[in-house]
Amino acid sequence: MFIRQLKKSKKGDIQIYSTIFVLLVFFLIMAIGLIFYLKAMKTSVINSAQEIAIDKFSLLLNTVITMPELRYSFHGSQSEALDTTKLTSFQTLLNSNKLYYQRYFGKISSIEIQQVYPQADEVLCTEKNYPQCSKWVIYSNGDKGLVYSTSILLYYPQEDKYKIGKIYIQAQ
Amino acid sequence: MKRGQASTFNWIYIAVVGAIILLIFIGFAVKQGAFSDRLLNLKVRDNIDNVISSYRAPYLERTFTLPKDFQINYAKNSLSIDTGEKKVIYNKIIASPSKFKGKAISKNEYEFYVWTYPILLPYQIDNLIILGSSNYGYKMRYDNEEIKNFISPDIPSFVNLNSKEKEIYFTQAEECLTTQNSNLMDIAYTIDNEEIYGYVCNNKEKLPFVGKGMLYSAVFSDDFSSIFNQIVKRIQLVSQLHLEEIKIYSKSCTQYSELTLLIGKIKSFNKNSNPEEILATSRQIEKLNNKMTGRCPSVY
Repeated sequence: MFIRQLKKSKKGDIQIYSTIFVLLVFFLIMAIGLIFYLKAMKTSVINSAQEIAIDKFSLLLNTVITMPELRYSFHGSQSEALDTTKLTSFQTLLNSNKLYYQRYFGKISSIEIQQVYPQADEVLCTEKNYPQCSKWVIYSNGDKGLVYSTSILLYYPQEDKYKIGKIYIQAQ
Repeated sequence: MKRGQASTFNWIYIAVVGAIILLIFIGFAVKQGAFSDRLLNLKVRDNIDNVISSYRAPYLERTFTLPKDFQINYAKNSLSIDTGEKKVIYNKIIASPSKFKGKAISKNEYEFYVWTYPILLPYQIDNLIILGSSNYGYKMRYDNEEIKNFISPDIPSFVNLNSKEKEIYFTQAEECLTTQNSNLMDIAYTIDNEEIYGYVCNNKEKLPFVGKGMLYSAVFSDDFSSIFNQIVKRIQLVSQLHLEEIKIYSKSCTQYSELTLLIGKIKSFNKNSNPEEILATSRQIEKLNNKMTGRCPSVY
């Protein structure tokens, strides 16, 4: 009698253990599946983040170079160049309207422009030394994010000359 | 435990475990569904923002489609889709109905449009972006043919000018006839030598406008008051920039004193300004600016 009961309970235990084992294997497979799914998701998120970053930078660039505050226009018609007098004057405007431009530029942390051709020593432009200078810090709000750079045309109104520059936009 | 009871217990145990597993999957699916809905909403909102952002130059027009019957909401500089999260847009002047849906062109395509027009005084203040769909119409009530011929050629053909979601009354007068509710807009205008100025009356408010850019921002927006404040701020900033520019030019040229005075007048444009005077000042600036040359470069 006792032996029969013992055998029965052992059979029950085995059944419970096997159920637990099946469940463990099931959850293990599910966890492995989830890890693969998340890894695949992560890769696709990274890829799309890179695509978004490229799109974002070209939009940010578009935002900056089309600003009436920076763009060169002649008798009302807009040019593709940036006006270096405006670049120089913009710093004074920015200082008295910091909050406005912080919102305007959003996630941009800095905008710098450097004359690259003809080559010139790196001298920061101010109202005092302009046009004997070659670099403009248009906006600076920390040092966060990736830097995107592209060539642009710079116009010097008093000399009526175009030069080549590079714009550096840093954004999160 | 009897054999029959054990087998019943087994079935109950399997059902409970099964139900728990099923619930986990359903919960995951629901969460994933809600998450992808939210993600789609944000993606659509950001896509629209990108479309708008790429339209920074004047005189551009295009249509774009969305794959679902989304409702675009735009109020007080905030853009959102359906009941999704809002995105505040600080760096663009957008005229748009406060709520609108796209025009269905097929089962999965709903069409919207965007076009741009410059705000000039006489230098460029900003680029007005007009967002809408032909699902939302504007009924222009002109008091004569001159104003119709003056305004119509600049409005793209995809803008619906036949239905009456918003009615705009144009009256050649110095003052508005009435200050209307939000669906009716009264515009008291004067056309002077290819230029227009006057007052926009809407929502019990009377605001001045000078030029087609400002006029369109009133006509195609449900919230001109908020756009007007944006324009005023932009006028102040761009004018201030030109004044700073003049300071640099003045080191080698003394011909800017009158221009400085006139730009200062434009800079002070506000809701109490006389639009006729502002237009006259703008024309004087244009004349003086066009004379500048050589060591005294033009300001814009």
